[in-house]
Amino acid sequence: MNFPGKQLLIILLIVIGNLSGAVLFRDSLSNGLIILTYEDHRLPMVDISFVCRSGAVFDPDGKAGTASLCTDMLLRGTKNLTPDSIAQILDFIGARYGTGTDFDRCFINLRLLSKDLTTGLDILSEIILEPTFPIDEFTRTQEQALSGARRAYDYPSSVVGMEFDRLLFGEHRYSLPPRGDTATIRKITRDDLKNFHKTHFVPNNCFIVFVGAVDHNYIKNEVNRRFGNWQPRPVSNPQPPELTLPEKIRVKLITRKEMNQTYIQFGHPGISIFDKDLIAIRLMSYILGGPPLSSRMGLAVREYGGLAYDVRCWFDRRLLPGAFRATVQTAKPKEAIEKMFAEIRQMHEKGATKSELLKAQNYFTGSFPLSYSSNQGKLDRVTEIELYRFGIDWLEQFPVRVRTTTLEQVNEAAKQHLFPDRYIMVIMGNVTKEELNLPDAEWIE
Amino acid sequence: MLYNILSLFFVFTVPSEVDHRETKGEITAIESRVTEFTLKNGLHVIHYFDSSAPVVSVNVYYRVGSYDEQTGSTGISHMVEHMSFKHTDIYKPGDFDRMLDSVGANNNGFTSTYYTGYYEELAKEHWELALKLEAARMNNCIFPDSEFESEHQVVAEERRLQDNRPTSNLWEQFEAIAFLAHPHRNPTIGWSDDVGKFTVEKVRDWYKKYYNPANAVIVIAGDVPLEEVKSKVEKYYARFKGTPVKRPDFYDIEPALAGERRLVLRKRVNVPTLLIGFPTPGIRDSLYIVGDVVAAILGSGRNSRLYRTLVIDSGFATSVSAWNSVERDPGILEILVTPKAESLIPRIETVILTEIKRMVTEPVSTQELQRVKNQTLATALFDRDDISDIAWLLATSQITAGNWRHFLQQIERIEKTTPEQVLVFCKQYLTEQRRIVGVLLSDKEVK
Repeated sequence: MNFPGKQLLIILLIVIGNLSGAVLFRDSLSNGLIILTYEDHRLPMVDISFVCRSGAVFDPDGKAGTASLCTDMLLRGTKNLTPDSIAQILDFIGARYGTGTDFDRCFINLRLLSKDLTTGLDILSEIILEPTFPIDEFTRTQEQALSGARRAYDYPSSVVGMEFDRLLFGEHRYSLPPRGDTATIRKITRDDLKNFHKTHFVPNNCFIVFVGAVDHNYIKNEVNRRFGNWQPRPVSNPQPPELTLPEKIRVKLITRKEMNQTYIQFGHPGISIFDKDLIAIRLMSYILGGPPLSSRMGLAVREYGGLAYDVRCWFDRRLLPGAFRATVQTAKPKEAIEKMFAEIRQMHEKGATKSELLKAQNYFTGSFPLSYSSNQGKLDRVTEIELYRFGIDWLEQFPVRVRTTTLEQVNEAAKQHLFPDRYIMVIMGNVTKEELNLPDAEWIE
Repeated sequence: MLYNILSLFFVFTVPSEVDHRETKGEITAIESRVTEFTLKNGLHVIHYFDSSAPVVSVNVYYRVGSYDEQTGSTGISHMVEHMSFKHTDIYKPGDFDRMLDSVGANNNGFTSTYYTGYYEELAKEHWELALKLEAARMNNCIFPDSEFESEHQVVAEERRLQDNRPTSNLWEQFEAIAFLAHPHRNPTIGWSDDVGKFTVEKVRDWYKKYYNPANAVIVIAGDVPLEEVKSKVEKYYARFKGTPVKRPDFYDIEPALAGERRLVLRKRVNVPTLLIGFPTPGIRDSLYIVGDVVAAILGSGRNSRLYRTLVIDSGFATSVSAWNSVERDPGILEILVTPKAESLIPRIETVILTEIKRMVTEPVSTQELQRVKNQTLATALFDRDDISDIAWLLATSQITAGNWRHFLQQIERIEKTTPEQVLVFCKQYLTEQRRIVGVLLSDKEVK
């Protein structure tokens, strides 16, 4: 058995208790790879997420989609395993697995029966450490990515979202979807994937989360045995977008005569997930445009207005500053827009009420434990905690932070972070400028 | 085959023999956690005890859905579901959400072919609130004229969302040509013209007929003891009058396919879609579950036969998947393909027919069958991770098969499936003449 040595183990070990009696551990190898284990022995199963902290924002210029393609290709062949054998082994043991990429991370998720844990770890280490990016698989995976990117243009909600991002984020990587776009995916080469892997898949830039019937001490030894000799390398930080707040409403109208409904997305520059007002902003946007049946926008547009099935707004929560967005799909765009504008203005000028805040706080604190009652939920929460460095005690701290947020803070957040009538706006449907009646808007051709 | 592959790479741990004792033990343990009882008014209650997290899932399902709807009123069950969130004798519009939000509950409602369901997932100390609100929804909804029109418009907007999604159009119209007589041909949300003609009177009548204890199943899953469930259910529901509803039986209504049916839909799309279906038997047929096995062998994962031939070997397609849609009455085994180009569709159809012929003439390999069995068992265990998933399985099994054990019996049947049964099933149901084909193509005005 190849065991690189205990000296590599355990720089830091933090253990906390939590509400359900299970325990969350955080450890790190000397090469910087972090291991988090949330022990939960209810069922003989394990969920694993391997996360690389570099997401699509690290795509090379003009080659949006590189991170996504690189991550997909990890399952498509390694030094010791063909892509078919990877799938054969994982399918045969009944594992669920998949890869994903967003702006902030690339990840591989694996759900296994406990008895198959070592098989899963063997494959996981092989695909992370020894991928070969075979040429035939690269061509096929690139075609699949292109097909996905083309299909995104078949859906109006996706089109307005992509166009909004283009207009708001300009030259920054945020202007295109994490998976890239048709033009950029075509430019990606196999060497780009190899470079991305070499640069970003390094132990000091990655972490692994385990949830389920596992023992932390066993896990750290097994991870160390497989990843202990992986060499660290310096990693860089991503560049934030340079966002400009529009002076007035700037509208891009996309005419689609065949549509019987108009799709709308509008908004302006927002915040990063590290914003000091994050909790207050989340509470405020929940009150303004959270649940479509009970938020202010939901009540005005859906419940009382009967203008839409779904209406909402939110602030992106990403490592770098993102957008504040509002969306609606309606046969009566003029009326829906007026109501949404009015609710944002009202929130900005007069803020929320005490009872609205209490209701939002109750919802946030009450639903939070539900969000990690299942293993999948625990995996999501622990990943979020580590990725955004919320701190190992976040499961306890989040409800406290929500409860101690004051009405003044929420109302100040509305003043500071909502900018009525200074929107980028994309409208798509069978509607004219005249029908929309936006007299002060600047129309983007 | 698996072990041969593994032996080439000695660094990998060879899985132990296929030993499912522990997994099966956990799946069997589901039975010991379930208790069912029926109130005098006919309300059927299923309790699933799981104290591993301080959470309870309350689910109320009614035996009403698009299956029960007639031409001219398609979508009415869904309209009632929308209206049932609004006004009862004591609760006003918004109260349900306000009260549930205030305790951090997740809640929603949904309408399907065979049922309309409502659920709340919440911390155990608040579970009684969900039961109380659902009791009001069961017996005391009122539908004031003044509240109808705006919700009617909301539903019309929801219907339009379907219209503007090209693949939703394909699904909807594919189902409509796949079934000539069976209500499976109607979309749950209803046809546009029917949706436009709903009246508040229709909503009231539908509610009055179907929402009562004798036509409902309640599943309460999570960290609440049986005694408490019994006493609280009795407290809130025993006083309601139960009126059994005799559901029509359309199981055998669909005429046999007289030949291939084909739909060609042209929309503003950049990527074509091909959908091929074969009618398959419903749950009264002893072979029905073999349809699930066949679908998995054909189109589940990289090692499935169609993924291999269409995506890897020929490169004609970028994705393929397959599943058997049977929930109760006869359904369809569906194969969904994303062709690389529209021009390749005829060749893709030929490849699919060739693979189907193989299924009809050669028994599937032991490894292929074992893969599906292993995946079925693992998935059954994974489903236990979330009590809402278990609650859904219990409720839908009870409604569609009249027996909550139905989903466990399905697992047992898959485990016992033999290559010979697969062969018999394919010979009987996967014939070229029984094919239904739907294609979504570009209207040539695309970006």
